[in-house]
Amino acid sequence: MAERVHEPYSAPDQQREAEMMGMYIFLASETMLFSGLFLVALYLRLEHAPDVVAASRQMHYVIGAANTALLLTSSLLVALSVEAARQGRARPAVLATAILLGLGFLALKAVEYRMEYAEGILPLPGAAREFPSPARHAFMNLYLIATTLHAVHLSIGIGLLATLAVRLLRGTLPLPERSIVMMNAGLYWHLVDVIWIFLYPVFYLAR
Amino acid sequence: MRTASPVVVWIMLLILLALSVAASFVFSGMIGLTVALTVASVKSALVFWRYMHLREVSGLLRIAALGALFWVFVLLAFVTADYLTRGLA
Repeated sequence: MAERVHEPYSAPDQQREAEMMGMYIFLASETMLFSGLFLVALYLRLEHAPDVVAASRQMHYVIGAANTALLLTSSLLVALSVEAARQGRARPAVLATAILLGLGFLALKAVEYRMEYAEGILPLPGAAREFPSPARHAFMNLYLIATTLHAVHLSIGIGLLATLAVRLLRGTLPLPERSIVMMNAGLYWHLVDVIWIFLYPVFYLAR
Repeated sequence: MRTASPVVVWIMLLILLALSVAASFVFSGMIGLTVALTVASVKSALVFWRYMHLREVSGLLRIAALGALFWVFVLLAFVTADYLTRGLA
């Protein structure tokens, strides 16, 4: 039951706190990475409000909302499997469902990119596109960069959860002793969710 | 019973999502932006508090988890200070 305590820690609680703090600080650095993109978004909104609103109205906000719901639901499943892990129960099926929802998000995002590509509003190199103003081009550039960076993070999260699901299935993750591994992977997943919670209104709901 | 609470948080998150989509059709301009960011902040607070364990960890860990928020605020506020105060001149 008791967690194995390593140097330099003297108590399981102290060790667990340090392991969580490391993750929180890493996630703070991720927050700062994305905050640079949010800063550009805020600047565009303040300086070119009509262009940003016009560009945002072209976005497929229903797809964005569906993707938000997928991520929120996946976060619930991750939270439930983490809670189970802390009580010593392995729930690989719940974790696998969360992974499927994450993959569903990426699939829907790909469909959306394809639609935007066909509409000529996705600023990919070599894509046929026409923007009425430089600010609208800048907004779509920012959208593409921010959502792609988010998708990269989500893919890493899927990899993390998949690794844990396999370990749970094989029984190579002793629970609840090593539930901190589940907790920290969950923290990462939830932060990627939080970043999308802000990306969605900033890009899809500016009116 | 122990697993009820994450489900309640999830329902609240979905309601807030519907609210932010609906609000975007009612409010526009700076008011719309403020409403959208406020709803997003409430959603994030729920995720941080319940799913990211902030309700059960020590004050030190809460500072570690939320410290970045302060720096983001400094970044956004200082860079946009000029644009946000132009009407006051």
